[in-house]
Amino acid sequence: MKSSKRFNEELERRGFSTSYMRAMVRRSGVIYGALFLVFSIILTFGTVSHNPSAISASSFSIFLYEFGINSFGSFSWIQGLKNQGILESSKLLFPNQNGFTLPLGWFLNTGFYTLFLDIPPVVLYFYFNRNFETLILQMIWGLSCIFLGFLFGSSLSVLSGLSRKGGNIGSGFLNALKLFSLTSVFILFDLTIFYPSYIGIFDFALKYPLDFIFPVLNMKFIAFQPHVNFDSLVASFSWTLFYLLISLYASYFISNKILDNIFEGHGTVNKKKKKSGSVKYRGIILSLISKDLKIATRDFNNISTFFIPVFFSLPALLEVFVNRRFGSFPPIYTYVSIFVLTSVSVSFYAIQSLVMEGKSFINMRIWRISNRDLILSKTLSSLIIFLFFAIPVAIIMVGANMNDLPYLILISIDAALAFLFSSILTIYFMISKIPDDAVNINIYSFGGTLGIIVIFLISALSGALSPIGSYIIGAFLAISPIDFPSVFLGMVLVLSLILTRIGFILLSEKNN
Amino acid sequence: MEGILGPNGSGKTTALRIMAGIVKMDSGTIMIDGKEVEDYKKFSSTSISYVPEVPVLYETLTGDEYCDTYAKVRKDSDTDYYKRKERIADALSISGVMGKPIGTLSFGTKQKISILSALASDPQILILDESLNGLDPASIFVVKEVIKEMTSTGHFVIFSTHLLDIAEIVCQRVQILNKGKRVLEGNMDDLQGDGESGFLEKLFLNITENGDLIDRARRVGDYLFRSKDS
Repeated sequence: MKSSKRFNEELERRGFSTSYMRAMVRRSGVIYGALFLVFSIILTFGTVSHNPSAISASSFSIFLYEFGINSFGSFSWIQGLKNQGILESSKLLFPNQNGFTLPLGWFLNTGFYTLFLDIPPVVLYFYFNRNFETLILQMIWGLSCIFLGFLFGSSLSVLSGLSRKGGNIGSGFLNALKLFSLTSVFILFDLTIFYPSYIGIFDFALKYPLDFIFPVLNMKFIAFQPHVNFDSLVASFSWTLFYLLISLYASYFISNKILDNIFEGHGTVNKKKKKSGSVKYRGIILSLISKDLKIATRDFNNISTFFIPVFFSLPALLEVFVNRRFGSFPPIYTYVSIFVLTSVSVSFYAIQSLVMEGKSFINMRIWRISNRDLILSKTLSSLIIFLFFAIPVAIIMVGANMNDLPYLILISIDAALAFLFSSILTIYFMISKIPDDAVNINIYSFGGTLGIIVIFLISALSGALSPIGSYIIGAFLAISPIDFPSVFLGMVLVLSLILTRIGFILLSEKNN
Repeated sequence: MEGILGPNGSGKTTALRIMAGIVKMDSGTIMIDGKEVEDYKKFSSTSISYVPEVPVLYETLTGDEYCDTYAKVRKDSDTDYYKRKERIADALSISGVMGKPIGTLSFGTKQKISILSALASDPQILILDESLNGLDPASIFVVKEVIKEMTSTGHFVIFSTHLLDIAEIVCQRVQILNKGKRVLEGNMDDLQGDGESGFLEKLFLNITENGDLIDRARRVGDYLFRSKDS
């Protein structure tokens, strides 16, 4: 909000009115609340319409997500307080801050709105089971999850010492954590919708009294069970309130530590060990790749865009994974699945790797980076990110399809080469669309909507060249890809190598 | 040290970006020491540093990472880079924030990092495109001193600005552009004449505004203030 031009102009026009600022914070909170509500409705109703008995498992996923999102939110919030020096003035005005100032301020302005996530599953559970007491128990659990999230996120920020790099060390890790929690939620919901028999894993087979000891994990035993007698009802309420009080007290306790950390750290000099001597020569390409990887992993928007192709392939991946007990599949099936992931990834990654430069693209001009180096560095950094996602996917699929290890290696190399050649060609086309003196890049820089369609076509067709070529050669030689997978994959490898070589020759001619 | 002066839209930035090798020119030649450089693109990438008016850096990188990346893409090796960077960062009072993400820093600090990255790479030619805008007086003083030191050790600085008083102090030569054309060029000593302070402002306004602006400004001043007194 602070960096919004419109907000700043309006704020100035209103004479920096605090009521306007408060209204804006409240308005953005309400919008977030509404979005959380819609998100939760889509996921919960989607699950229940397929399998009504999955309501407790889907509620559990929502509560777990609530815990995760609040862990992330509180961590970022505290980093923001630290980096912007927001509490500096209040340090002078109120030297003895109350321990509840921080958690309460965070809860009222951010955490509270995640409670909207709980409404759909809680209401649906009540609708199916007609237990009024669970309605109250689950909402209290919602509150506990919020404060437990705060506790986890703020503990992380204290443990990381609110890093001297101003949060940069943690941001890559944190984005990975955020992405992991989001993916986990999608996986949980995919499982509850399509493979309800798998939701039994959420029972954790905990025996009494262990089922009452681990917060969040034990929620199902406390808040999602019919209370057969008064004693069990009292026990559930006692444990629920106990966890709420514990999370509140712990938040109170940790907020003092956070305040100490914020006030101690702000304004101090950078204690990082100074480097000395000669700057290490790593070559232009390696330096640019390193820069791209940092930019990609430190911004959640970037990393989530790079993850989109994996989201697309999640249902297919889960199916292979869940149905693995039904028998082995020919390796060519695994190759086709990985190939689809590769083709989808190339266009997304090519666009994102350039668009993430944005206005900072002027630096490529100021640093006089040639188009050849730009294409090569963008291709290789995209390939590294792709391999980071694709290799685990390949391992899971090869394992689930009971294929041999050599196939894993062959399929992975084929995918990497297809990605490399296809990326070079796609990014080459994209760069050719950018004027030589352009200092800014956005999604419209590559020829508008038509340009984007062409990008998708180029990446899909160029990626398909070697498998189609191998298939045609195989047809001439009467070699079926299903019966002779190693011969087919070998042919793909040779053709991909030739195409990649052509790609590099094309690049070496583009020296400007 | 050469100053490029001119009103908004006179073509200063385009001229400087052509000199820096960032923008291709439609026609003409660029000569260094009276000689045309064979591979200007290569020459500019290793020998010229350009600092734009607005610092558009990578917001998620730290100041250190930004400067180091520039140094690494620029030269094969640089023995004194870290020492030089540290000294300039200290002088600009930004050592304490070099480890912070650039996105969390103020406009002025970003501009200092932009200038630092250019200076630390030890360029033969430094081009500053109104880059002192947004800096505090102390930092302007430091940059001025560094520039003086650079020029005294055989480096060349090209500097475009609206801050005519600074140009008057630091430049040995000036060029004035107007509507895409060079309208005046000369050594500061020749232009200065009787040594009167503020001569550059008068000269600039006379050339670019045909002398009308000074009269107009005086008339507005009279209208606003003297009329109240009377």
